[in-house]
Amino acid sequence: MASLRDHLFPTDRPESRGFLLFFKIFEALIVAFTIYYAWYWGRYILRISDVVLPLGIAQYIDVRFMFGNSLPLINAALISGLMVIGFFRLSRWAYLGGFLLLHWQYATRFTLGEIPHSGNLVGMAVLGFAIAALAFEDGRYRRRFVIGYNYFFVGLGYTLAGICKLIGTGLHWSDGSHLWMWVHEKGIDAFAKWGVLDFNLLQDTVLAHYPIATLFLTIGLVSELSAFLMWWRPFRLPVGLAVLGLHVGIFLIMGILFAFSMAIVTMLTFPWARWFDHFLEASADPPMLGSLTAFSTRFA
Amino acid sequence: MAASSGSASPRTAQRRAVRLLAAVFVVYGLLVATHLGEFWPFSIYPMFSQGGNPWSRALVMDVTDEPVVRWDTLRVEELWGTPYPLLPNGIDPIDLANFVSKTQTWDEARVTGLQRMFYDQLEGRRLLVYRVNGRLHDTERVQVRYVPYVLIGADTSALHPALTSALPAD
Repeated sequence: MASLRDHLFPTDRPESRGFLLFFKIFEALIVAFTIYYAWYWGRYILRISDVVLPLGIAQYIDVRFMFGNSLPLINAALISGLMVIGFFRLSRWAYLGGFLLLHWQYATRFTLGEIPHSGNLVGMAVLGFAIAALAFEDGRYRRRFVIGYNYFFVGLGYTLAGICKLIGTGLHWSDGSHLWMWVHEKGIDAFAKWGVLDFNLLQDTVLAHYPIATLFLTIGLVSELSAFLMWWRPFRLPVGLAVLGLHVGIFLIMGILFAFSMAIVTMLTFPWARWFDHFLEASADPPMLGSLTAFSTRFA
Repeated sequence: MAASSGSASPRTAQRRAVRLLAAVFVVYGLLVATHLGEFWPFSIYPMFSQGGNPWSRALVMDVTDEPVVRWDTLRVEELWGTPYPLLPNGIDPIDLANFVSKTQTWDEARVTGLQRMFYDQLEGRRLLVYRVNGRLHDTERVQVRYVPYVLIGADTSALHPALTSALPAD
């Protein structure tokens, strides 16, 4: 019977063309998400002039020198450049530099009291790529490390979220009245965003039916608590689907879309490598996929 | 960090991967343990962990055309002015909610910070920033009340009278 280390890091498994393609698509997504955050946060920093709640490195270094000038945009440009350099394997240190500067961008952006978690999985993934680039010379092991590392910390993150709920509230966290509170809270956020206060059909349903609200919270909590099971290969599809279902529910009932987190979980849930292999074998000369596979092998 | 050689065996590489994972896990644990659960990208993910607790958000109403400013706590149907949508104007409502709820002392710097958040959108406009408080309630299920906090224009501002002494209750 395979141990957990074999499920996370199957370093003796041969890499197929489909796996290389899957890996490079996953890496491209992380690079794209990182560049998006670098600029999105950078542009927002231009509106900030005060520190209400310092986070991360901002608790030790005064980040106010980043306010009122174009330094956030310069930082965004540096992060973008480093991510592209890392993607094309031009420097092994590029991803680490990108990660550190992205942390700095985050700490400068989120000084007003908000503690978002939408970018955490992206940040963890960049760190994984950075460590892999420095620790493994052999590309096969580097790629296995990155994928196993992401399974571990994605599963850990969702399970920690579930444990926090049990510690913060207890087993009765699933009480439907708690969902009423969050529906109203996010309703006010939507009101503030768009200037319209309106609940959709699903929100009206949970507000009207306490048992349905309780059932939804219970399913969400179980999905989070079981997420660590994705460390083991046989559980990845069911657990990943449960987590994706949780995100769809959060979006429909609370109006919060964790698009990048969902993309990462989607990449880790489905057997993309096998599907790509199947497609590459079935088609003699798949034009688009063939080019992508050649590119993935070149910059693996 | 020394890179492994390209000829390392799969078993050696796997051991190295496990050690690196354990090292990141330890750093993760140390950083969240010493920073109240948050040191991006490390987190214990505590969002929505406190079920049933009262919450506080923010809402902005455009009161440019209103002759008099009133500082009464209101229900939604009593709001006056026109809702001012934040997202089309580039403002994150959660930022604003935190700015309003976590500000302990409304001094000049804090009011200026609020005006800067609205950037160039205050020209010829007066906006009233509400703190919105929600809590579980016996008869209303969820009671939501709107407390006017700060009135801001391009060069003017006014605070809820109670903000200079004690915060207004909902």
